[in-house]
Amino acid sequence: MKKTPIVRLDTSSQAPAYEQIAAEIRALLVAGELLPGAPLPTVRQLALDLNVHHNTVAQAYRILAGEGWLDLRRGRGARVVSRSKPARANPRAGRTFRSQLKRLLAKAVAEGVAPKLIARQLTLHAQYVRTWGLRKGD
Amino acid sequence: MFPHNPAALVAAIAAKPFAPVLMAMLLPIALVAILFHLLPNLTRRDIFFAVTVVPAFRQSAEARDIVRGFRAAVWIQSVVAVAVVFAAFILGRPLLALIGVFGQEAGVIFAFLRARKRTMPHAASPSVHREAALVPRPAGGIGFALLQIGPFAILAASAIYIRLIWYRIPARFPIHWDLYGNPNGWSTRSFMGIYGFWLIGVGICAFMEIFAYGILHWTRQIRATGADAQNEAHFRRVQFGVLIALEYFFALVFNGIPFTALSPHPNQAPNVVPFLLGTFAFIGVLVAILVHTGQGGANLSRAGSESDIAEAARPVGDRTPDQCWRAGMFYVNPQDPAILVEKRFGIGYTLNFGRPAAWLLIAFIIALSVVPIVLAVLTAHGR
Repeated sequence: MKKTPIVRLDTSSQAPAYEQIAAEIRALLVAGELLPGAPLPTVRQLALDLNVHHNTVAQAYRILAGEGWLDLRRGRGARVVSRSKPARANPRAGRTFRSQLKRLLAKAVAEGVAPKLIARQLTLHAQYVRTWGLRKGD
Repeated sequence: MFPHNPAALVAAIAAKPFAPVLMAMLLPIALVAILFHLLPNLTRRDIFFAVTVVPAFRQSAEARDIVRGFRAAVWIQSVVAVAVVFAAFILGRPLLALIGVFGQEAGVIFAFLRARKRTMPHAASPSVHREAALVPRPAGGIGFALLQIGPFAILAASAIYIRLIWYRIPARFPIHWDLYGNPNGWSTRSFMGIYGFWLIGVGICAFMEIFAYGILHWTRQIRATGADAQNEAHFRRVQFGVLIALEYFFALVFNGIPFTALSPHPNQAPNVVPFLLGTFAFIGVLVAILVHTGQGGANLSRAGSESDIAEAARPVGDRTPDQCWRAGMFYVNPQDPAILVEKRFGIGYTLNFGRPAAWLLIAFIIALSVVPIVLAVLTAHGR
């Protein structure tokens, strides 16, 4: 049975709800759990299920449409589109990733997460990221 | 005079012309008593007397004591209501019986509020996580659409038939009888006199249609994964089915009223006993179905029912904040996009009174109650 893609929202998080929603959907798109052609719930339906204003979901959908993941057409809802990998990686994106990861690791260590656990998670995620590349035909 | 022997008394009352009216009052009292006795077992596991609690609270001694107190109050009120209804009929003042019926309703609400107050100190903070399935909600399909058309097709067919036999309808005919079967209300062969009831039927069916549509499309999916999500989807379909069944019932009832004019003995009160028994059997079946599902599908199979949100210590509830529930019955939250939310007092859905669309629906219901009065006045003037 096919797993239902789920979006989660943490109401205690400092991150704005639209960013959380966009990040959750992006993760599903990158992992191939939402394939090209898949329809997404309407803005109103998702806003209702997550108990947020419909503008919040609309903003998240617009971010993903701007990144080339979604096709938004009035009256037809949101649909996943086939997105090719950018020809050249954005150098700023690489730098941001490195600095964010460093900050995140420092925070985890400061909060007492065992370095062994961190290392194991990083290895697992590295393996997982490689499968994303394979799925995209790299 | 009535005999003192209880069996003879029941037989004497059953032989009276007002016996069907008495029955029409006693059966709802019994139904309300049974339904509210079961109520604490019908809610979601983490909602207890309209308060969000940890699921384990239900098993505590305090919770059991609250349930015992609530049930005792429900049954005491119900016994008192039955006694009042019988006394009113024995004394020949049947209108006083309404005190018994409404007294039971008020007593049950009071018992609920008392139980809620006792539960409030045990309220738990709900989970900070929300989840939603990233798939469009199924539209319902052609079967659902055909089911929804049925009541209107029945009403349309009867409207055409009545028009075809218009001149067979008497110019004046009774539509209401007193407790002893004597006619005390009449209607005329006019558009309002004949089609007035029909229009009310159309209005009621239209309202139920909007509500049924709303259940499928305007309600929140509280759990996104696992058996709970499936149970919830099943519950929503059952609720839709119950509303559509009621819509057919009302279509047939309001459809049938104009045909009483064609009775060979129009002045004689129609025998309402089969109708009353049929109505209560029908309502009994609907209630049994709702009890079987429980609120949000809480009583359906729970195999693998844990949600992906692994936060057992914090309940999910129904994703509405406790503080937005007035008296545990009325939900007022302008920040919530939902127009319909799961009830916390009873089974099914209620309106979010913080949304303007909910007030539009209420205005529609009020209009439905005003229309019969306006029609009655217009009919009286047209006599």
